Amino acid sequence: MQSSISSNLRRLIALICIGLGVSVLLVFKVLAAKQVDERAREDSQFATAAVSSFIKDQGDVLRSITTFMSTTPRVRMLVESDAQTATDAAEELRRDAGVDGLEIVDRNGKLLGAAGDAAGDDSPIREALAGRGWSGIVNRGGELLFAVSEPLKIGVGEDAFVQGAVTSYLRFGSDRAQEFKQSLGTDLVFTDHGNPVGGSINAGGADLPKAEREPVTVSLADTDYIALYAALPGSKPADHEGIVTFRRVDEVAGPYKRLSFAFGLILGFLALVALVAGSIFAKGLAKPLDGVVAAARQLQSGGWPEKFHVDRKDEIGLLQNVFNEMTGSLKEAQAKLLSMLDLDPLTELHNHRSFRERLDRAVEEASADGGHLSLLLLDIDQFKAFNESNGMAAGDALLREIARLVRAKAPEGAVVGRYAGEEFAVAVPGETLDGAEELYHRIRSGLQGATLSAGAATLSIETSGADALLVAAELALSRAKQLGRDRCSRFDSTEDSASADALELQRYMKDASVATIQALAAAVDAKDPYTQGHSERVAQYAAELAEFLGESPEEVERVRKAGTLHDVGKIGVPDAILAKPGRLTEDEQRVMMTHPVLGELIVRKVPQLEDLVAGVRSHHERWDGKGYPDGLVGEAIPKVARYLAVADTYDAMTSDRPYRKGMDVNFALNEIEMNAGSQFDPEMALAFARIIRKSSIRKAA
Amino acid sequence: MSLLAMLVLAGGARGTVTGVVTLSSGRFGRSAVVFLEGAERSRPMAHAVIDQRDKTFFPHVSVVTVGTRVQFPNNDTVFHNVFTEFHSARFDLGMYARGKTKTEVFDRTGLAVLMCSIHPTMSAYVMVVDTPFYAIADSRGRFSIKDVPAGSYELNVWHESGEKLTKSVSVQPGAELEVKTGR
Repeated sequence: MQSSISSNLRRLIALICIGLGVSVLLVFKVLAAKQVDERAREDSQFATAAVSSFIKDQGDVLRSITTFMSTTPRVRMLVESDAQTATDAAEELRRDAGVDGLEIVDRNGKLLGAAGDAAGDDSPIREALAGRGWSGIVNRGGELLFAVSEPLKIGVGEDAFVQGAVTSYLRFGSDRAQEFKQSLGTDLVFTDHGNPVGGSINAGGADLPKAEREPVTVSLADTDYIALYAALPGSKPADHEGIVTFRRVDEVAGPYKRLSFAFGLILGFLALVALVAGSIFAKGLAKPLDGVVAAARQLQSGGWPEKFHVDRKDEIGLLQNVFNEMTGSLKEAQAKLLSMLDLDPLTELHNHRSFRERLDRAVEEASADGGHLSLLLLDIDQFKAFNESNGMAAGDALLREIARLVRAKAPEGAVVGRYAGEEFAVAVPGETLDGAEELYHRIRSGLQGATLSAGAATLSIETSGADALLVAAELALSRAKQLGRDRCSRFDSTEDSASADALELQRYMKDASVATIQALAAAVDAKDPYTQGHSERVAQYAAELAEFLGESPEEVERVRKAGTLHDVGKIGVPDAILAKPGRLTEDEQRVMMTHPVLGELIVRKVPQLEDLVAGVRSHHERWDGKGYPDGLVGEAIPKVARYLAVADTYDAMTSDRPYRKGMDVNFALNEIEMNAGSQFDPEMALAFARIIRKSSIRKAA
Repeated sequence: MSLLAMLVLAGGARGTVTGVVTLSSGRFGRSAVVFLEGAERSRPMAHAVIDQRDKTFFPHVSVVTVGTRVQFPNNDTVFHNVFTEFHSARFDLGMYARGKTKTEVFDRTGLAVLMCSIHPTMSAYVMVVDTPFYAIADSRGRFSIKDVPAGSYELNVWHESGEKLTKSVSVQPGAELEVKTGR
């Protein structure tokens, strides 16, 4: 069986593994993302710094070159040259200096010669013509140029006069950005007021940073970049001329992604290992638990599971130990309960039922091997009078004393029982009538304060069964009483009196159940002295009701017998419950509710009582199906039992108890009528009320 | 540029033209060249020298008549070179050592800027004119042109700062002029 604990545990472990894995991965991802951000930031800061520094260097170089040019006589001489010469010279100079553009103007700003890119912006030149060198960034219609303009002076000191200007340009466009990209590995875009003006990637439309601050994430053509702005060296802050470096996030993230993947693999593997380990652990946990569950099931179905061999020190071991202990005490309790079923609580002798069982067995055994078996019935003389004059407690003490005596004097192997209220029975295997009689005398001689009458019988052809043996002993006992009590009388088929005894016996055996029924009823009454007479009254009420409703005499008799025996199962209900004043607890109630079934078991033991079984078992069923033990409904309840139910309830309501007075008859009858159709067969309930009212009117009259 | 005063002194048919050149900045027009162009042409000068010493051309500004052969002696302790772009025609005397002299004939009117390709600070101006009436202003911008026959002339003023002035004048005894010009 797949244990649900095991699979739950496995699921739990799987969940924990997955949860742990996922959260670790998430944490790692967050850390990695942070790291990537940091890296990208560092990268772009580095790139920006590198580009800035490179541009600054280039600017410095450009400035030096231009300054050098402006002092070179041949360049200065160009202010005197014609356009062709100046233009050629400008181109040559541009190439030699490695700049993108070069312009030479005369002292009036008139262009003398130009080569390559020019700004189309006079401001640098104007500055230079005013005698001041100028360097900075100019925007030439969508492209940034680094410009250095120097005056061309002729003369020395105060007498040096500006004769023109030379201006050289470096272009910050896509070409330059590509160069940077190749040397730095970083994409780069030149910007003016946040607009891209050439770069290694197309950044058109993107929201580019235009001030030096934290790097921002920019998405270009579905690729994420970390972009960082830096002002171009030489530009004025207000002009927002700058460079934006772009670092591809995925390039930065690549190593982290690979690491993350590897990490994920390791986590997955660990999770798998944990899962397998957890699975094994779960199995290890669940297997002993399964064992306990199986044991509990066995216990539930009435078996006794084997004791667990406990070799664990954990909770499971504890559970097994507890279970072992529980099973042990259950076993003990059951044994006690069983023995309570067998023993009379007052005398601790076998009760009537138990004695009968053992007697049956002893008779069988003796019959089988042809041995002797004698039965001695003892009855306390005038016990009722003893009780009345000495009190019930003294009566009980007397019963206990006799029980002790009988037990002490009876030979080993004898079965001793309290057969009825003040009647004891001793079955002595291997003993003859003489032996039984001797036993009587031994007991009698030890007794003071009371006398005993006894009847002895032994197995013989006439008395070949337990029933016959009992009746024989009863007969002998009643003869002993007739002869004046305090003596033992023998049922002896070999003596003269035998014929009379035998005749008597045969007469009894015709209706063997009479004795048995009376004996059983006596046993019940002995157990529950407060309901004394209850069984007889129920039998009487039920019989009257059956007769009233037109049952045959045989059926009426059957109802009467069933009434007498209906509570016989109470023999098996502990006295503490049976005699408890006041309300029963739920558990006690449950025990109490077993008495119809116990009764059935007892009655079934006596073949002659077979047809009373239904009445005994079902007298607590209810018409509406809410009764017990079977919850039968309506006419499914045996008719006998339905008679008994009405009679039983009525008597219970009207009889006095030590702790309460019996109900008023009319009140009880109203109850019966009100419950017609719910608790009782309606016809019976109404009929019963009518009968009782009639009879009470009769009584009153 | 302003020509603060021009004094024409009569001496029979001839007069003398004097004046002061002031630059627009207010400074004196030191070494400004002033010449009068009229009917009379000049003849080449017999002797004209632009010396090179102490890494300087001397004089800094010269006026020569057209066709004059100018001598460029190297009286310095180092090599020198003289080159110019004169009317789009470059002449370059190459490098030569001290004690050597090179010459060049300036056969057209106009301004020549001389430089030494070795020493960037060296420069000299040579104004080639076709008139006998010319002068170079002194350090205070003053100039004087003597023996100018009476008549109408184009007065030309040039200063190395680039400031120029051209003015029609009539030479008569006793006159002062003040002229302003911008770049």
